[in-house]
Amino acid sequence: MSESDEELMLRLARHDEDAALMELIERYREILVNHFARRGVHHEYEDLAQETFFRIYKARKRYKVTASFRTWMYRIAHRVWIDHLRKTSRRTRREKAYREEPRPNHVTPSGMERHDLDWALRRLSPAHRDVVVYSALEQLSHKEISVILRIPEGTVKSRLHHALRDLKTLLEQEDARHDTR
Amino acid sequence: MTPDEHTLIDRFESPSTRFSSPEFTDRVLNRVQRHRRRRRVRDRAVRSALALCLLGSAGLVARQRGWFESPAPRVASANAGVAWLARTQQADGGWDAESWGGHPEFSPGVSALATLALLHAPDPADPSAVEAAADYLERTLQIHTTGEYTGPGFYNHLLALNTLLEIDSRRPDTDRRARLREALHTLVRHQHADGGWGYIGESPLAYGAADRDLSNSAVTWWVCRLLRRGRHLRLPGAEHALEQGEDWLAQRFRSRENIEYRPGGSHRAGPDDALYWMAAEQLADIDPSSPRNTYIPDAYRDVFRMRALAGHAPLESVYRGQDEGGAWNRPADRWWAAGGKVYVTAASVLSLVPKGV
Repeated sequence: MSESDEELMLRLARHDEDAALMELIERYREILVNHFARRGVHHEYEDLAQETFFRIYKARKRYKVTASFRTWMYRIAHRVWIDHLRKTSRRTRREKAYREEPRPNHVTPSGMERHDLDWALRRLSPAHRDVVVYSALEQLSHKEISVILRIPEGTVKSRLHHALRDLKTLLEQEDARHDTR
Repeated sequence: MTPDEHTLIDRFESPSTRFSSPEFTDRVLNRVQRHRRRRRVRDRAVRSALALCLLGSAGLVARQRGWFESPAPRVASANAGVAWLARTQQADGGWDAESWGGHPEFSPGVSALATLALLHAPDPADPSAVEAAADYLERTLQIHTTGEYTGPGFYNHLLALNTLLEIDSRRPDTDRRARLREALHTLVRHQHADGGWGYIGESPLAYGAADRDLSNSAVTWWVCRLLRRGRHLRLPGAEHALEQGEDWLAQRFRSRENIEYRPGGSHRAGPDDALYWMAAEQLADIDPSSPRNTYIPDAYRDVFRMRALAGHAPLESVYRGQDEGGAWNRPADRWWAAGGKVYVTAASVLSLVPKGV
């Protein structure tokens, strides 16, 4: 029976074992890479995922079993993401560039048009995009999101509600535009 | 998320999945290895710095407390003082306080201190000089122990008795020991009902009759010291008297903030007073790492201060005032008018070699 994430983390904290760190990397490398990619990182998502694992290693002594490893990892990833934005200070330009991007629609074999979620997410505000990424794509609970973003659970619900309303409006606008063609 | 919200999300195409490169894990592990190496180097540097700081602090403390101090200046200073005392000893074995700026009534007390300085000199003093001084002190003792202390001051008597007990412990003499027993017995008889002792007989310090009837902290301290020092004489009743006397002192010295010379007295002893350091020896709660400053020159006080601080007190104030002849010429001293140059010199020597008193 394989060890839980928390057990691996404790092994890493107590014995500084490379094997435990490698196992955690294997379990979460793709998840973190895609997490950063979905948050709008174009090229450095792998670097940010590596940075997250490195910070997990550095913070290993502070890990407490009371927190789920996944939530704790996402909190660190969130910090990495914020630091990345501050460091690059290209966020505003990138956001602007995304909004000017052409809408990449695809037509499924059944003929139903589907919309690119990456493109749609980039049209949301950062705060709304965060909750949609964590909730819809990472499948995290509201409570876990509130811990990661350090905001009240009610705020998570409200942001998610507004984000989905914006997405719905976006879809309606796109559908209307499609119908008028 | 609600089912409606899921339906909404489902209308979007799933984002494309990215895959990490094959070197992903190795890159993280390489960073971890570099981090560990840096930590090791940093930890070693911190440990080295800490060790250096500790060594430096220990060096400073040692220097402050004189652990590395060469004993040469102390020894030379004390020997020069003792040589001056030996040169000024009179033919009768004593020292005349008046000839050196003091009061004639205090010659026995001054002689007792000077003899004690000879006994504790780093270089042994001439035995014949010590013997002549012992004979002189014994004669003064004879005056005091016959009758009710009608001779010169009672404090002289206590100091002389202390020095003679010291001599007796080194060179026992049957006749002298008998007189010492008699003198101690007289002290035991004069113990007050409260357990303390007061001035007995005529006092050169001009205390009134009422004061004489009151127990006095400094006198009681000295009598207790004499009874402890004279334990080898096995005097009947001395142990009980000593026990009561020490109980009385413990009450008087109940806190360092409330050390009184006599019950209800107006003057409370502080670090500038000999009594404060006498109490410190008994209370054992003076912190040697923070020697308190003293402002009034008082060689007698310094003897007890050096004892209480076990040699940790700075010596600069003790060295100050020694002249080329080896004596201490310090007319500003609190007791100069009583003991003069002989007293200051003897007390300064005893401060430099603080084991005896």
